[in-house]
Amino acid sequence: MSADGAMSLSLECVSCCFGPTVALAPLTLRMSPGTVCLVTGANGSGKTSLLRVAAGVTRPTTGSRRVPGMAVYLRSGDGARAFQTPRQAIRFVGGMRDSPGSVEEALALLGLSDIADRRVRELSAGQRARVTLAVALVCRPALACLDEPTAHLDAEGSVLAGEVLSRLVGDGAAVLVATHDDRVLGKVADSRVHLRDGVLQAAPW
Amino acid sequence: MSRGAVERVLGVLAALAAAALVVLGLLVAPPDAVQGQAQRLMYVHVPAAWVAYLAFAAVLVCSVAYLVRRDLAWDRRAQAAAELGVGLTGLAIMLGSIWGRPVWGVWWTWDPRLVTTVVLLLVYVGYLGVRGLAVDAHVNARRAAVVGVAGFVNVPLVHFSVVWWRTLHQPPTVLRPAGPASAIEPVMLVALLAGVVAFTLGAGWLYLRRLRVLARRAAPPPVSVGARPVPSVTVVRGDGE
Amino acid sequence: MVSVVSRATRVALREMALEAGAREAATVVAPFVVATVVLAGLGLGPRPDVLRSAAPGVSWLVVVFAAVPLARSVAAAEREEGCWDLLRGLAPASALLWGKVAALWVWLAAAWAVATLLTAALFNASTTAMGALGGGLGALGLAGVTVLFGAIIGAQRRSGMLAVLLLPAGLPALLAGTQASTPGVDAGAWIALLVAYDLITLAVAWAAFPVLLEG
Repeated sequence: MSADGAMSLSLECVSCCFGPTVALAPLTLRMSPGTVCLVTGANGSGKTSLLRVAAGVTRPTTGSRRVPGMAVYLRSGDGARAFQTPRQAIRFVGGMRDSPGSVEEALALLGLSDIADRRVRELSAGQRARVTLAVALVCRPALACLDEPTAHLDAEGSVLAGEVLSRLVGDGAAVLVATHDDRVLGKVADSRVHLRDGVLQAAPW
Repeated sequence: MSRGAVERVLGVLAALAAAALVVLGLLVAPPDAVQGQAQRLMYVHVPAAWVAYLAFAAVLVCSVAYLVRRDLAWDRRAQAAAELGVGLTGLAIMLGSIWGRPVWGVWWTWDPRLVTTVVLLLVYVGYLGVRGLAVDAHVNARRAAVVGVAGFVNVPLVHFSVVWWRTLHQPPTVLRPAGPASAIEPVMLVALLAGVVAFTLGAGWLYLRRLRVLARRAAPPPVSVGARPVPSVTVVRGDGE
Repeated sequence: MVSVVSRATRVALREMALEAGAREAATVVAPFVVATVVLAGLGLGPRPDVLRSAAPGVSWLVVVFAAVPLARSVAAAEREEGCWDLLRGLAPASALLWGKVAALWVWLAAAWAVATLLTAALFNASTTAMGALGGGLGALGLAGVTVLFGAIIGAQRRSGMLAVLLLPAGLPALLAGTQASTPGVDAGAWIALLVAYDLITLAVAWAAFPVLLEG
């Protein structure tokens, strides 16, 4: 196991409460670079809270979080404005991350080349989910937190989601994925955690 | 001295000062030679405005302290001060208006001090309004602190722009800064001082009570680290396969 | 520094492209400006001298009020369409701030220009070069506070609070901008006041914006 300093994500005794409601009981989660961790659990079990706290977009109530680099939280369908085209949205992300070269490649990988110049609001939910995956890819984050990335995706799309995860991992990212679909994504996962009523269940659960 | 004792002493002193204010302001002090009985409103209008400004200064200090320390206790202090300030500013504007009507014949005049006071009132109404937006107390505190600071630094600019605006059009001056002590009868000055003391003590008493309520309402987060072993997972490459 | 400027430029260009696509600002603000100026003319008229002297003030009132619906583009629209979390991670706070300020500056200055042209036509008023300079400077400071408060009121709830926050904060722009474009008034001092307003509001926005982006 690598030293703590080399972790792509360290959450130490992190919890998340909304008023009196405990969305996430204290837990410790560390991820080395280049790993995928699936988060499963019923609706309301705290998956989204865990991902948002890990990405740094929601403040943890207790504990500390460390990510050496950029973290991104993306829900299926996020990452592009309704009146942008997929190409505009992904080009913007590529420009902000100084990786303009990866834009066309990401569009091609996710089968978006033909619809890259339509407005996002004219796309189906599944096509938007692909745009989100392309955004995640072009972000080149240290930590990607993907919330239900395969929601609305067809069988081919789910395979592509697995491919995106592999590429992110290949770039050295840690990927935290909340999903109900671990048939396809399970193939690329290094580990799984399960949440029950906000409590992390250590495997095997 | 315990907190409760301080509160009780403050309450008693405030009540005594208020009683002295009533006697001095209504009975002992003579009616003003020019303004008549209406001038007695000064004994409550000026103290209300003074304590309101004090409260807003406290909001600024506590907001900055919150942003530096990120301790919700500072946020509660800022909130209690802002509530006090909004109430007293409203009171001061109303009393001033009631005083102005018989003396100047108008309810309102575009004096820089009046305009600035109304802008302050709006800024801190906004300050209190952004607090209910988020679930997380820290998010609310952060937004409120930003409004508190951003609103306050704008106030001198508002004041100067209205001062210039007025000098430009040379309207008749109806508000003069209170003259030196020689211009005001000693007994009136004593009544005014009693008002300032009564309002300051009374506001301090209310402030402490409000702080206590706010602190009681601020429940600690419903989780505690250390009560149970924290589940821990470390993901390394090739774990699952 | 270079990277902040280039990233801020990208954020601003993204706003422009979004406006070109959605025409949100144009469809919301332009009819609002026209309606307000026409109704102000009816409310204040029909004496031509009254209308002419009220023209600069009406223009600036319209601009300050237009800032309220325009503030939606800062965070509320981003949040609704699932981009706010991404933007916060993607752009350094200063780049996001300056990009958004630049876009709002353009919309607010455009609103001022349209309102001034309209009052010139409908109220038979005229503006000066100093008035136009005041329009640009006032819109800049107003854009600063709009971005700051727009980031605070990012949700649909209590969107009316924006008016409570924005209108007092826009008071110096209203006063100084109006005086600067009033014929016969020494505009120099008012231009100086607008510069001070811009410096103060932008400095506060720059210092406070990162706090609002925290998780």
